[in-house]
Amino acid sequence: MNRALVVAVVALVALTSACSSQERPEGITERWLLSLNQGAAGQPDRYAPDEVSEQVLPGWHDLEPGYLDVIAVESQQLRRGPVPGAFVPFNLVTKDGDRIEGVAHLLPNGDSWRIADLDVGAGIAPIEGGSPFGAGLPGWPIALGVGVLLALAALGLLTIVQHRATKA
Amino acid sequence: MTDRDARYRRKLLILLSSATFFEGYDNYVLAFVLALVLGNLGGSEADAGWVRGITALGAAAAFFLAGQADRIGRRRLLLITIVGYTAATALTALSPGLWWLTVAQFGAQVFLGAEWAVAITIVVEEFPREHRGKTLGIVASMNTLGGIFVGILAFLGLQDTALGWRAFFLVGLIPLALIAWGRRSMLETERYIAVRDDERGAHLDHTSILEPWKPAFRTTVLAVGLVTFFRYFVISSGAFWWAYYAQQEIGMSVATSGLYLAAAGLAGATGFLVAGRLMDRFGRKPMFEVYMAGALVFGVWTFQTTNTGVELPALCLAIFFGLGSVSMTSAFATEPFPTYVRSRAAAWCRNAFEIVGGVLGALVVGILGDHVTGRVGSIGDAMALITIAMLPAAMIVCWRFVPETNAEDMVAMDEAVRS
Repeated sequence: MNRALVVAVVALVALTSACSSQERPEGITERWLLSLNQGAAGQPDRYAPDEVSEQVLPGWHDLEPGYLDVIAVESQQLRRGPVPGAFVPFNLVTKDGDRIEGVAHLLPNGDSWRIADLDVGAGIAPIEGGSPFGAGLPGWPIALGVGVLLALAALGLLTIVQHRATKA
Repeated sequence: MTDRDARYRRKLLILLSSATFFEGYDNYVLAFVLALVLGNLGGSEADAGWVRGITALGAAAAFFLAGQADRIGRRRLLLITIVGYTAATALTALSPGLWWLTVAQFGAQVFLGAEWAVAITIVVEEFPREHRGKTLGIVASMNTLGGIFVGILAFLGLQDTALGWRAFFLVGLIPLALIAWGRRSMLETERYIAVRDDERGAHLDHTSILEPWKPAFRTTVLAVGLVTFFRYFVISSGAFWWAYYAQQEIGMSVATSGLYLAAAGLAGATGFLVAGRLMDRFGRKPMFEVYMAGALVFGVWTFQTTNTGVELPALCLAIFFGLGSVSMTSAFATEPFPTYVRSRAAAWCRNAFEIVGGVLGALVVGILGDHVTGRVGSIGDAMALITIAMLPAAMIVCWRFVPETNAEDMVAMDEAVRS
């Protein structure tokens, strides 16, 4: 029983560590907008300077939490040009029904990213290319393979248990 | 007219349905009022994660209480659980801090988990063979109605009263007290009395929690446990993450996602009732395979579409098949086992496998789908991937190792064990 517990813990640790990877600029942008939507309590300065946050929601310090009804972040885009970093388009809808569109420009910050500036409103420069956001094509056969392995492992275990139970 | 006529069974159905209704209510209410709780009692999102994790463990710990039904009787345990759950709910409403609330909700989950296991055991033992599936379907459907009731109370503005989030816990106390009073008139199940009073069964172990792992039951307990683990790994994480997916990845407003969930929940609740009738007619295993195939197709569809018009029918069908399949797993966890060990077997399947699968599923989807650090980076894709990996495994194990119990005669099974 103890050996089985150790194996289960090791498997869980291996599984959870295999699940995480490097930080994504889309996620940082989303967390910034979510924290901005909490007002001062959200501490959006963890992700962007105050003056950048002011461009999206002027006077955000005094806004009621939940002012933004919809927060949608799209895949990061690569923009051709001399400026490095990642560009993440976003769309917001306020509780009053006003729409805010923009592109956040993020710069590398150690292992993470930090929002440096924004293009808010119409007339956003055209963007192209970009990395996939999600499982991508290889994810599906891997999931099927994991499913087959799980089923085989379960069937194997049950066959052994059934065999031993019959003998007993 | 006997003392267990149709009228008694109707009353029994109401008294047992409250177990699954309040399980659904309790599972949704904490998630719904969490932001208000953190604002009132103080705490961060990380603290909220700990609260959820610890309270979820209560449902697994319920295993030890649920197993006592074979020793002290179904009726007595059902009375203990309703009184315990009512007290834990009252203590939750009175919480002065986050730790108090966590401990009170842990206790509530222990009593609810045990109540569920003993409730389905009573259904299997007290209702005629031809009505067992239908009755299991009705009892299971109450879980979804409990969740919908939370949404209705929130829609009516219960959180805006002077009591704030505490009102959600206080509002259940009066019906709980009435149910506890009503359960006093319940009778012990005929099967339990027959087995307890039969001297030929004196050699049977009515107390050991490991009794379901005897060679005679071991393969079935493990097979049903694995099926419920794989199934709930997906279903629980889908129920937990759907609102987040709708709001953050489809771009739905909070109000719209709430409306979708209530509408789909109502439509999906019919899945339990249909499942109950179909499994009485066509058998538990064939209907489980059909329901799992439906959950696979519509579950992936639900978490892959970003079209709000398509999302509603996909969600309705995913709930219909995904949650509806609990009618079959409830039968798998009880019907293959003789009366003297039935509650303990159900407790193993439910509390030691299913609940653990549910906690792990939500955790794995959260880690894989984390928008900043997750390997997949999308909750929708992570949900679709685990659905593809887990549900076929549940279908294969069920088809190969879970016994069909549609025509199972409980009396004959108990006779065989005693002799």
